Amino acid sequence: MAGQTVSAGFNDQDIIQTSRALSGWTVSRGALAESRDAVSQAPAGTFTYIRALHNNQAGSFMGVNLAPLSADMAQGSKVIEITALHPATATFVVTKIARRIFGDAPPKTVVARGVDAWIAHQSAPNQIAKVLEAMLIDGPEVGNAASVKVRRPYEHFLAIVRTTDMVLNASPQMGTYFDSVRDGLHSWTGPNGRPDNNAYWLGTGSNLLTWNSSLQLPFGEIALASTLDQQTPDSAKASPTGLVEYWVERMIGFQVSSDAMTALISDQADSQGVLAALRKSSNALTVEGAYRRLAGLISTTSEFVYR
Amino acid sequence: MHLTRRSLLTAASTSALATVAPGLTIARAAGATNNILVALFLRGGSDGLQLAAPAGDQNYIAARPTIRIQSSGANAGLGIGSLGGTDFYFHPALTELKALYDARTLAVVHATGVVTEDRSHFTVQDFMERGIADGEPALVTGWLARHLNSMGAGAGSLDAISTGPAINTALVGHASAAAIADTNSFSVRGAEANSQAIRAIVAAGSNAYEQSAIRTLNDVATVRAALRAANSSTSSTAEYTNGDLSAPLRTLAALIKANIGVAAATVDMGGWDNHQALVPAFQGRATELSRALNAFWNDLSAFQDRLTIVTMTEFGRRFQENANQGTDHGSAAVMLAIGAGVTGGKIYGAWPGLAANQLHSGDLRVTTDYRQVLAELVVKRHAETSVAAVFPTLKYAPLGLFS
Repeated sequence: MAGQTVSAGFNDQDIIQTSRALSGWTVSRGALAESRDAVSQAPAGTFTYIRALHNNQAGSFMGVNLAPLSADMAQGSKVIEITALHPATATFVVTKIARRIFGDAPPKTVVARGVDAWIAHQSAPNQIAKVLEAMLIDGPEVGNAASVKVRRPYEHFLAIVRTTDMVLNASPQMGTYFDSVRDGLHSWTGPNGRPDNNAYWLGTGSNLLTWNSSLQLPFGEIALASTLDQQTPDSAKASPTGLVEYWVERMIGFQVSSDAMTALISDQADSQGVLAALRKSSNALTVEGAYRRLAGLISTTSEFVYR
Repeated sequence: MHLTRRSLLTAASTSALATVAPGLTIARAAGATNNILVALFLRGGSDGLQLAAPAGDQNYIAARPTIRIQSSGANAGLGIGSLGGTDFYFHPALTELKALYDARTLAVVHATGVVTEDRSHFTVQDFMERGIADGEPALVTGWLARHLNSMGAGAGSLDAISTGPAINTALVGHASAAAIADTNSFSVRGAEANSQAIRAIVAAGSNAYEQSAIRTLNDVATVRAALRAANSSTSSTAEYTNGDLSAPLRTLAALIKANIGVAAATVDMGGWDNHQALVPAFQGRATELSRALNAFWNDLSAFQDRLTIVTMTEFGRRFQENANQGTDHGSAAVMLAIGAGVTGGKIYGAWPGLAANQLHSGDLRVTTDYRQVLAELVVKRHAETSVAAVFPTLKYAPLGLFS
């Protein structure tokens, strides 16, 4: 964790003791279990502890001697407990939550309240609720926050699907489509997680993938299974303006900038627009393609990109 | 024909870039050289004691009983001379790089890295890409960005490229840096109407997204026009591999040959975090490194008097091999410098030795701050006039690696 190692006060030896303390914690292989883990009756794929695999040489972790803890899983549990109760953990996790909600530079007041609540309620069963209450309800910041976080490419794609009630046939491509910006499932290889800052996601590669998936993927690579035309009231089909207004309201819920509105209406007034497709073609796929392209274009507005 | 940013934007805004004359070059800021710097980051911690091994050292032989590079016999390392009285051997898979070394095109810096107790990939990569030492306040910008900004480079051209999904941290803060993972997919899909509509939607440029969107559209237009104009010269006969380093290097070579004004680029290569079964894994990585770099170098034969490549990695590995025939996170490692201005065929740095009392927390000691290599690179090859602007706390002491 960048910048956290020093302030959290652990060192190389603590890492070694952690790996010893957690040895024997594993995933059951069920029927494939070897004799040494036959003690575990856990079904395959579930967590299990195998005493024979536990290295009992662990010494001091963060100043606490683990050696006397001899019960099953006691050493590993102690490591998790010490880590969970460490103030640096509270700061680290609360800052991440705050960054997710308030943007790349969240208000210090929000973080401070969250950390205090974390520590005050750290043994409470509703600790997460208490922390979120402190961050979001116990101060004015959330009401004042502008939309400052951009959707990642995959979130963006899902948001289009969700806000248009598109029904997609699952496709293998969906599993890997976002890998090129490392936003696909399991495609972020490091244990540090995807960066949750706008600078990373507002780049050329990310923008292009977001646009291209929005404009093409829904009808190019995933089979047609529903139509947006059926969802569109006839009144909205009377003019490009009506059409754009209807789908902006559906997808965003409030108005886009007048520049973006003008651009969308102008695009829809042209031959590539939905109304032209409705006039020209009785092919449902062609019409749906034009609708999904419109949805893709609406998704390129700032109002949609900022979540 | 030279383009300024303003004329380029004007051209792009009327989608007329396709009509720009073939062979266009983007004007560079006054004072800058037209040299090209490529920073290759070996992600995961590349084991410098396997890449350039002190294969005959008795401590090395004792510490690495199953994985060590041999100094003689079948599959022996490739001798590259000595440093501080110790003989070094390239990993035997580095045959192409050995040839470049023998031709004095490639130099080795040993026992280099970040002076730190930290062994986190992310923390130490962050130090390196931001160009700072451990314990210093984190800088928001990357070292290469500060260098380019200090030179007044770019001015809106595509002067800095990250050949990956996003801008490399080393280039964060340089406004004209672009991420281009693959020239083939670097386009807005579908009819031209799609690009035009998006351009109109984001035209106001009133927030970070709209500004980045305008830049993306401009970059796409520039790159596509330049690639079209230079189509014949970007085709490659160099013998790239099908591997993961060849792909970004091939893309970068095409962009350089398209004369879009690349002054600096970052490339990543992963797979160096060999905690277990290091020997076969390292064999594969070293082979790809050697062949892909050699292909890139040959592909850009027309640019060899301008092109300089440096490799870096966040740390080397523990001196002692582990119980899984691998090595864990360690300290000092190796940097390579290849190409124009490199006084090659030589190992640079100060060899700290591998006896117990010479190690740093049990590992190869860092004797050359990695920033010295990068600072000398930008000073000698890119006419950087302010080391302090790039590496604020570095006491500049060049190794004489570049001329």
